[in-house]
Amino acid sequence: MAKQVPLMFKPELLSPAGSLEKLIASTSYGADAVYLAGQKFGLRTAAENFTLDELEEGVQFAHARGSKVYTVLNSFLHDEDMLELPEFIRHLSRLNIDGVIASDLGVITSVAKHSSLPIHLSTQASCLNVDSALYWKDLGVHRLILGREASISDAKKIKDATGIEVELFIHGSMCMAYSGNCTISNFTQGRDSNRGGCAQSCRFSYSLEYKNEADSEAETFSNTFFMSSKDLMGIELIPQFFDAQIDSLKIEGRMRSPLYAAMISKIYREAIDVYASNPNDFQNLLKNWRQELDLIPHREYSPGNLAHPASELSVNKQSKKPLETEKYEFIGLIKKIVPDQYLLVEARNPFSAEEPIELVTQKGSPIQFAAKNIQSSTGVKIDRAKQGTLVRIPFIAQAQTGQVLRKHIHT
Amino acid sequence: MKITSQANSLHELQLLKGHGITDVLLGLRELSRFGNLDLRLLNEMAIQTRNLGMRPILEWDVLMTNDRMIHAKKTLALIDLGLFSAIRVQDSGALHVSKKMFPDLPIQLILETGNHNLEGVKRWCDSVGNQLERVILSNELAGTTLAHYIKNLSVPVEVLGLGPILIFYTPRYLLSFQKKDLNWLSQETSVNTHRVEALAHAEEGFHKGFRLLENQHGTFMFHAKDYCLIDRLDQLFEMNLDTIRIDLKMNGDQSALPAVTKLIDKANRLQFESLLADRFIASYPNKVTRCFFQKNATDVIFKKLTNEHIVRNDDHFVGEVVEVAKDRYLLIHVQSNRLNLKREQSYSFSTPEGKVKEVLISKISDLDRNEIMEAVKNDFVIIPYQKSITPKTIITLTLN
Repeated sequence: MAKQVPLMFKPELLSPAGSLEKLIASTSYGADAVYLAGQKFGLRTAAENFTLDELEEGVQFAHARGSKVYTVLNSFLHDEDMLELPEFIRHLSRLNIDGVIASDLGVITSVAKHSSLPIHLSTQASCLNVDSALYWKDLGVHRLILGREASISDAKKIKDATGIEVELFIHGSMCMAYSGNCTISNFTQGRDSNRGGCAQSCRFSYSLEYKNEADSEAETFSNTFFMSSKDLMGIELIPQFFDAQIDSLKIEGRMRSPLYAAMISKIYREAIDVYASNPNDFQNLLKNWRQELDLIPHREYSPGNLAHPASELSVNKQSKKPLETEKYEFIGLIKKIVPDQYLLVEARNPFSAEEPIELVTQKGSPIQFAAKNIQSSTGVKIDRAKQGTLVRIPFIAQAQTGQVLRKHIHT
Repeated sequence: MKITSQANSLHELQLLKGHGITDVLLGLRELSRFGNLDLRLLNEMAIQTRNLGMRPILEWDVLMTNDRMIHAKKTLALIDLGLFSAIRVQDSGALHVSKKMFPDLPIQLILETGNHNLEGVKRWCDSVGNQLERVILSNELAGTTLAHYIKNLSVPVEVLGLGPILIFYTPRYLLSFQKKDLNWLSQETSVNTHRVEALAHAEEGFHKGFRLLENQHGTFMFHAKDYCLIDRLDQLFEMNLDTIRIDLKMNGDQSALPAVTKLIDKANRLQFESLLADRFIASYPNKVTRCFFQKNATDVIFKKLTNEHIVRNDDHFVGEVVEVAKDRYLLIHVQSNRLNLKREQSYSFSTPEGKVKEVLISKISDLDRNEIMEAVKNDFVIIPYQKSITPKTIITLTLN
């Protein structure tokens, strides 16, 4: 058997942090870096996002664990939005964040003027080819988050030609349009999709009436989800990401739950580490990771454009969500540990004293148990934890604050 | 105001003659989103455009992955660029190629996607330098903003004056994917002439009548109505707009052209008549909209996407109510780095429903019911029950 030589290059795993608790989940479960937004300038207006105090706390938490923090400023800002931007940039600079993600040239100019923060070109700019990359390099960006239409092979060519870092999405929801080139929400609902108001019109069901010049009767298809993209999943392509030396692998999902942030980070962390240290083991373990990813609520998966141009199979045609016969449900977060006594858990979904639940640990298999003795926050014995309550469950030695609990549901 | 429009055949080019049109957009099917000219016809039409006293503009407005860019560059090498007065690009890669490879060819830069701040538009202009002939700005700009930009830019500005509003562009072939008998993707010979059209209606809500066009570059979706500033020509003239674009490609014919160019001519001679403009709009084959020309308020709704009652203000924020045990207690999570929760101190409780209640904290206990004087960050503590307070209520220090 050939000796396995550890690989020197390892891409950054970049996970979403839609809130402080999601930042804690992502970094605790293996993200090398997280991306987040302040309360303005990002593209997820409906997300919780970070106040300045939370941002400071998040940066401190992440940096203490060796994780980087990138802040998104990737809205296409209007003139009136620009007024408050310099102060925010200076604040980010004082916090020592590790980079900003921007696509608007006005924002990029402002960042360069008011700080020396590294600038990552957002996927919103749809940078897809070597020449585009060279132009943006001249404009001062330090990393290119390529458009989702770019393949791994494109990314390698761009990196080789420009010498600057490249980042690709590896997992999560995808726009169907060239990013930044969809204004359906703007014109139909008065919500600026490029300032955080996307109404997800591409996920709606449509009837399609085909124009047929040869035949006066138009052909119609009802209830189609013709513009809804499947979710991206690139775990099988990790060897190609290594070969192409893609600097950063990004997971989409700032709006998703802490369980999502934790699990996706953990799975991809393991996959990257295994391939880096023992490439021959990667294929053996791939099936397990796939099974785990299948149990996280998602649309059908597709490799998108990572290996080949997205085909018909990349469209989530049939329904908004695949039929889920089994899935993981988010039970709650460990908020506090009283050693040898109890874990204080914030219940995000109900669970009862008898049903099996799982503590997702940072490494290895989850710990399965039944919280036979559930108590209210004040220590009164109860049969069932209600959603939104704080409860005590029996102490588990391996538990840590911020860890997530899940339930395996079969329907 | 100069007028620009496009021509997809020699016949269409002849129709543009004599209507005051200065620039004619010519689209080679490999480089242009909607142009369908082959190389021979492109060259011929460029010559004809000049002969007719107009300026031929090479339209290179597709977005390109790296392979498509390589192919585009090969195609460009076959074009006699000396025939063209300018090149029109959106993809920053196309801009880069135009600057490096054709430094003598003026550039018309499409900034219609985003670019809603003057600082950014100026930076684009500066990055192109003297080669930049014109910028094409977004149809989402309000009229006042457009006027401000025109005044403050050193480069002439063009906007769409009449034509379809592109609201979605993907390289995927969504109409063929849906209708199997359109599966042309494996048929190499049909690629360049492929064209499918459809209307899309959302099954629920008010998204009706979107026009869809699929060609070799992917799928394009247009608003149900055309964009129209024809009844605002006097304002456009007053703000010194350099060029107005008339785009009739989705109409199937150029029949609206004589009337609209006549109206523009009148505006240029300070003889604009709104009554005539209204008549034109009434007779125009499509419904029209001015969209955001009056005002762009596409961020107003954002406040409704988050619950403003429970948005944190770091300066006075203390924590939030996690749990309510009716008639017994409130469970509070202290989250602030700056402020502790203290006994005998007044706090404002702001519920998600919008109620605000001032509460003097008379007693604080830890989870084991031990009384404490104050609670610090990350503590979970209990205070006496308060009516009408619900979970997620935000607690802030009352300001005297």
